Amino acid sequence: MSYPRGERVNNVERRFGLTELIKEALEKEIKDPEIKELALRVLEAYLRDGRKAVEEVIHELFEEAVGYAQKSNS
Amino acid sequence: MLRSLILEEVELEGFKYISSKLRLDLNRNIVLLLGPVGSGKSTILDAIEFALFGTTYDVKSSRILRLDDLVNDFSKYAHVRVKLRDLERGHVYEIVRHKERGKKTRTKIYINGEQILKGASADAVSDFIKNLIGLSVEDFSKQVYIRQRELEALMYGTPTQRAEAMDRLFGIEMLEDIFRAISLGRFDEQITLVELQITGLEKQLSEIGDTEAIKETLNKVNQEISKVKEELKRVNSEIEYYEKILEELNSKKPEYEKLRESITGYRAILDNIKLRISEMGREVPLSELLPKLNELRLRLADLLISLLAYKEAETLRKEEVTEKNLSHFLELLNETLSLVDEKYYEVKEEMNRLNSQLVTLEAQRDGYLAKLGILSRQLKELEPYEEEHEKILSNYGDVREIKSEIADIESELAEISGLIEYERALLSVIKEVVRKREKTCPVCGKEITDNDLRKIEKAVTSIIQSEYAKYLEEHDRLMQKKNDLEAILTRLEALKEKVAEKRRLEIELNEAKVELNNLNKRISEAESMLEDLEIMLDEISYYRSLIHQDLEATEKYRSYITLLSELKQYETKLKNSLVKLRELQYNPKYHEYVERNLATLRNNKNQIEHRLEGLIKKRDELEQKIKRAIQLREEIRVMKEKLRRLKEYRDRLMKVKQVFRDMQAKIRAEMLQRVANKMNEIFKQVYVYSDYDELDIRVEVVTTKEKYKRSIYEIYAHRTSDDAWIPALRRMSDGQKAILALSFLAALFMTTPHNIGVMILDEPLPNIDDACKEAMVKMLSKLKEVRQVVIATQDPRFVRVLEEGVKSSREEFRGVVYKLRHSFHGPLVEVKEYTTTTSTTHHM
Repeated sequence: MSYPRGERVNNVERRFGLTELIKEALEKEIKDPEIKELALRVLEAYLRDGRKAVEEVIHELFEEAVGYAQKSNS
Repeated sequence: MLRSLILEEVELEGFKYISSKLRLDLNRNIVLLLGPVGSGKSTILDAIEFALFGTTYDVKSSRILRLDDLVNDFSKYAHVRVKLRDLERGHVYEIVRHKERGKKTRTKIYINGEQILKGASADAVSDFIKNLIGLSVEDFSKQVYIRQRELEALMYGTPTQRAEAMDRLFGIEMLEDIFRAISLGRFDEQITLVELQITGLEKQLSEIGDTEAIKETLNKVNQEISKVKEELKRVNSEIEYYEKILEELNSKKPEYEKLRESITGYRAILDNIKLRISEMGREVPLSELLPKLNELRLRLADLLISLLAYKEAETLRKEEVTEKNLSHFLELLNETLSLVDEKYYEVKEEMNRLNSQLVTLEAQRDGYLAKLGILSRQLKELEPYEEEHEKILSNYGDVREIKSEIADIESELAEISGLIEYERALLSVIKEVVRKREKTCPVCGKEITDNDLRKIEKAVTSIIQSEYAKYLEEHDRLMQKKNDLEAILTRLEALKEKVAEKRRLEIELNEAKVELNNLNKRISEAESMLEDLEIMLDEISYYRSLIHQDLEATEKYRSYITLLSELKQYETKLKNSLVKLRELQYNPKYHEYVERNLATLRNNKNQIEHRLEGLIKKRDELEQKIKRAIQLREEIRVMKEKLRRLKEYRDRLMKVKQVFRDMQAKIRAEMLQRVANKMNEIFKQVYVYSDYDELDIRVEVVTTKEKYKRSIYEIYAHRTSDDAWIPALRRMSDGQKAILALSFLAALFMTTPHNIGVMILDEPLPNIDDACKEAMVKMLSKLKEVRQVVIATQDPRFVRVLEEGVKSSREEFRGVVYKLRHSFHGPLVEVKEYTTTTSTTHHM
C-alpha cells in the first residue's frame, strides 16, 4: 500500500550532514594520508559500534605497533 | 513539509504516574500544563515522546530505567495514543502504543483514521515514524522537548559543561566521544617500559666495555693460540716418533727377557748335569749287566706264563737284551713290572675277597649250628605230646570216630529224655485224676471208689517212680560219657597241633643240616684256593724284587747315557739362544732412554695443552663478550625500532585525536554561525529592555591538561550604556540568562531541519519576570517556524502571560491551560480555553 512518507532527515549525519561534513573535512584538510586513513577508520568504527569499536581499533593499532617491533626483532 | 506537524491530541492510560485514562486536546497554539510537583505534567510530555518513539530519552540514556518502568504500578499495561496533524497537507497521523510488562510494545499507525503497516515489522514501523518526524528520540529530546536541565546547563554550567551541553544540542558530542575513546594510555605505558628496557640494555652494553679493544685482545690471543698449536704439533710429532720406537722395543722385550731367562736356565741345567755326571763316579759294567738282564728276561717270561700272560711272555722270550736296545728293554721291563704289579694286586685282591667270603661262610655256619641246637631242644620238648596223641588214638580212635560216638550218645539221650518226660506227664495225669476224685472210670465207665483211687494212686506211683528212676540213671550215665568224650576230643585236637608243630621243626632241622654241610664244603674250598693264591703271591713278590734290583742297575746305566745326551742337547739350545739374542738387536739401556725421553715429551705436551686450554677459554670469553655486545646492540636497535614505532603510532593517534577535536570546532563554528544570527534575532524580539540590544557567540580555544586544544563557548551581549561587549552569562541576571538560553534553543529549533512544528518546554525559565515570560510567549507565538508551544510548569504566572499573549495577538490565536492536581487515579484536570476573543473554563 502507498502512504505519505516524511522527508528522510532523521539521523544526525543526515540532519546536519555531519558525517559527510567530517569526511569532507578529513579528505580536504588532512594532508598526511596515514592520518587521514586512520581518522576515517576510527570514524567508521564509531559509527558502526560506538566507543567500543573505537577502543578495538586502538587495541589493534597497539598490537600492530608491538607486533611490528617483535616481527622485526625475529 | 518542514515543521508542519503539530500535536492534536494525546491520550494515556496506565502510563507512569497516571493510572486512569486521560485525554487532552492539544490542538492549540499554546498548551499550558500547570500543576504542582508530581501532578503528572512531565508524565504527559513523556507519554508524547513514548508514543512517537516507543521509548523515552530517559529510558534510553539510563542504565537503571527500563521500558517496563513506564507502566503504572497499579496498571497492567500502558496505553498511549498521539494524534499529529500535518498543517500543510491536512493529514492526521495517529500513533498508538500499547505496552504490557515483560512484553514487546505493540504499535498501530493510522493515517486519517485508516490503519497502515498492518503486520509490518517493528523496524518498518519505527522507520516510518522517524521519516515522518525527521528526528531520532535523542534529537527530539534536545531540540523539541527541552528539559529544564538543558537550560540550566546552558545558563549555570561551567564553560566545559556549557560546551558539552551545546555539543549535545548540536549533535556533535559524538566527536567528543570519539576523542575520548582514543585512549593512548597503553601506548604511553609501553613506551615507558620500552625506554626502561633500552636503558637497561645500554647499561649492560656499557658494562661489557670497548669492543674494539676486546677484538684487539682477541686477535693477540688467537695469534698466541696459533703459536702454541704449532709447538704442540712439533711435540706430538716427536712423541709419535718415540712411541713407534717404544712400541717396537716393547714388542721385543718379552722375547729378549725370555731368551735371557732361557740362557740362564740352560746354563744352570748344564752345570747341574755336569755335577751329576761327576758324582756318578764310574760307569756301570755293561758286560755284567747284559747276561743278568737276559736271565731275568727268561725268568720273567716263565712267571708271565704262570700268570697266564702268554703274549707278553712270548715278547720277552724273543727280545734279547743288547747295549743298543737297552732303553727299549728298560721300557719292556717296566711294562712287565707293571703287569706283574697288576697281577700281584689282583691276587691280593682275590685273596682278600676269599678271606672276606670265608669269614661270611664261617659266620653262616655258626648261625646254622646255633639254629640246629635250638631246633633239637624244641623237638625234645614236643616228644611227650606226640606220645599222648598216639595213646589217645589207640584208645579212642581218631577225631571222626570220637565225634561219631558222641553223636550216638546224644541220640540216646534224646530218646531217654522223651521217656522221662512221658513218665512225668503220666504221673501228673494220675495225680490230677486222684485230686479231682473222678467217680467213673474214663475207660470203662465203672464207678470208682476212694479206696480204689488210693490203690490206683499207690500202684501207679510205684510203677512210674520205678521207671522214672531207671531212665534218669541212664540219662546221667550217658551225659557223663558224652562229657568225657568231648574233653578227650578237645585234648586230641590240641595235641594234633603240637604234633604238626613237631613235624615242621623236624623238616626245618633236616634242611639246616643240609645247608650246614654245604657251607662246610664251601669253606674248605675257599681255604684251599687261599693257600694256592698265597703261594702265587710269594712267587710274584720274589720276581718283583728281582725286577726292581735289575731295573735299578739298568736305570743307573741308562741315567748316565741320558745325562750325556741331555748335556749335548742343552749345549745346543744355549748356543741357539745366544744366536737369537744377537739377532734380536734389543738394548735395554736404549729402551730406558726412549721411555725417559717420551715421558719428558708427554709432560711438555700436557703443559702446552694446559696453556692452550687457558688461551681458548680466554678467547671464548672474549668472543662471548663480542657476541653479547652484538646481541645487545641488536636488541637495542630492535627496542628502539619498537619505541619509534610506538611513538609513531601514538603521535599518529594524537594527531587523529586533534583532527576530531578540530572537526568538532569546525562543525561547532558552522553550527554557531547558523544559530547565532537566529538567536540574536529572537533575543531582540523577546528581550523587551534596552540595556542589551545584541548577542554574539564566540568560541575560545583553550589547551587542556592533556595538551589537547578544546573549544569553549562564550555568549557575549552588547551593553548599550557603554557600548561594550560583555560575557553575558557572567554578567546578566538569571532572567536575562534564561531568555538568552531560550533564544538559543529556539534558534537551534529553527535552524535544524525536521518536521515537528512543536516546541515542548518542561519547566522553562523559572526565574524570569512576568515581562520576560510574556515576551517569550509572544516571541514563540510570532515565530512562524514554531507552530505550537507546549509548556509544563508549576508557575501560575504563565497563565497571565498566556492571557496577555493571546489578547495582544493580532492573528487568530488559541491557547489552553490544563490545570492538574494530585489524585490517586491520576490528575484532576481543569481546562481553560483562550482565544483572541473569548475565554472559557470547564472541568474534565
